[in-house]
Amino acid sequence: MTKRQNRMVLVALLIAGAILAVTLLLQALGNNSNYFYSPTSVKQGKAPTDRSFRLGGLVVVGSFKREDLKSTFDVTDNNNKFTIEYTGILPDLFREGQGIITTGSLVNGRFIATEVLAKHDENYMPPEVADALKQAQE
Amino acid sequence: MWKWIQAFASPRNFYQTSGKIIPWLMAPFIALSLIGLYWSFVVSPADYQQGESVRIMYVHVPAAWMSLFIYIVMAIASGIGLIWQIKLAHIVAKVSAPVGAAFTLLALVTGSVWGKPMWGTWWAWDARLTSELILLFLYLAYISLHNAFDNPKTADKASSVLAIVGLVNIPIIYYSVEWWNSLHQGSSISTTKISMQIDMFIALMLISFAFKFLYGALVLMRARDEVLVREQNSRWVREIIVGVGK
Amino acid sequence: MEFLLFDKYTTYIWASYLLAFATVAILFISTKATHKRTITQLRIKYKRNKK
Repeated sequence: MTKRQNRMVLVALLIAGAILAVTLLLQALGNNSNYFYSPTSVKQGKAPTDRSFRLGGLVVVGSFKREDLKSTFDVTDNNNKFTIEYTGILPDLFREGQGIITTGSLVNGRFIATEVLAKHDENYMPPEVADALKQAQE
Repeated sequence: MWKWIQAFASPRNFYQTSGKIIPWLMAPFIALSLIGLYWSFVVSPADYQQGESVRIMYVHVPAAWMSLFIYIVMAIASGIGLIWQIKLAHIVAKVSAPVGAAFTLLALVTGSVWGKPMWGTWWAWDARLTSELILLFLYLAYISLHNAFDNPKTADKASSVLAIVGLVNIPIIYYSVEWWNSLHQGSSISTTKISMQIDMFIALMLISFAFKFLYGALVLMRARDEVLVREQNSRWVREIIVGVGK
Repeated sequence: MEFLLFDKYTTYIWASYLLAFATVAILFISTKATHKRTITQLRIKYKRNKK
């Protein structure tokens, strides 16, 4: 092998080694790299329900109720759902049907939230287009 | 063929040619920025959910793309520098790092500014945000590693290894929103679909291309400077510098 | 010009664009400043070596 080919092999080994190390690392981390748990995985006991954790899903349409700063709503992944109780200001993207992520813990089957974050999806369009799409669906 | 490439990439040849190219990169940068600003402020509509705050995306997304793009350029240049020992490749990698770091920081900060009103938080330790922060640390590590050596040859070698190893972070950043549940939304633009209204897409593309030209101009300017420093003992550099003084 | 207030997101949007502008400006200024410093230093060095 020439010196240049030696260096090529070296660079290839570097890349392969780095990929291997990171793959193993990510495998080891597993579920810990997920930012939140879905209602179904919570029901299956995958979430650490003994302490505070994050629950993510869609806000059920028609479930949102509010008294002053205290709001209650249901979050679903279309299989299971939880009722959330939260006191505080909701983010601008929060609305029924929207994906949200909430931090808190389960108390007697109800999720008492300390934080509610709204998730945005990858669709960007002006309001007129959104309305037109909605009408087309109905 | 390698001899030919090495001659073309010779520091002296590069210094003379690149000086002529810079204005041709600066002009499109300025033009695209101005049209891009007009498109993002005036032409593009408000979003049906985010309202006017969608306009932050026109700087955030191009900056984030640049942070990935510059890192890839840096890693490829490092690889070329290591394997074929082309001085100029190492120089391109070295001078790209601060520019990449600046764009990474801009992407993180503008993302944060968007996240506060939309998500309801400045920061979240989700996979996308965390891996992008690691990218910033990689750039900073590269810069400090390069500065740690007095001999530019040793510095080039050590930091190119870091740049190449760090390349694994790039697919992680890109696919983080697919591989894990994250707070950050998925990609709106892929090779198969664009989930975005056309004027929003145009605004995004204009600024994105403006940044590409800016990066090109900055790299050439910085590389020219680095060439002068590294070749300061050769006669042609002396002639240029003494000539400038007259 | 009212549209430049961008609803309730005035501060957020303008902050983002100003930061972008500042980033570009800092990159340019630092690049130019480094180049100026290089030329001055090299000129001093060459003058010293001549003597």
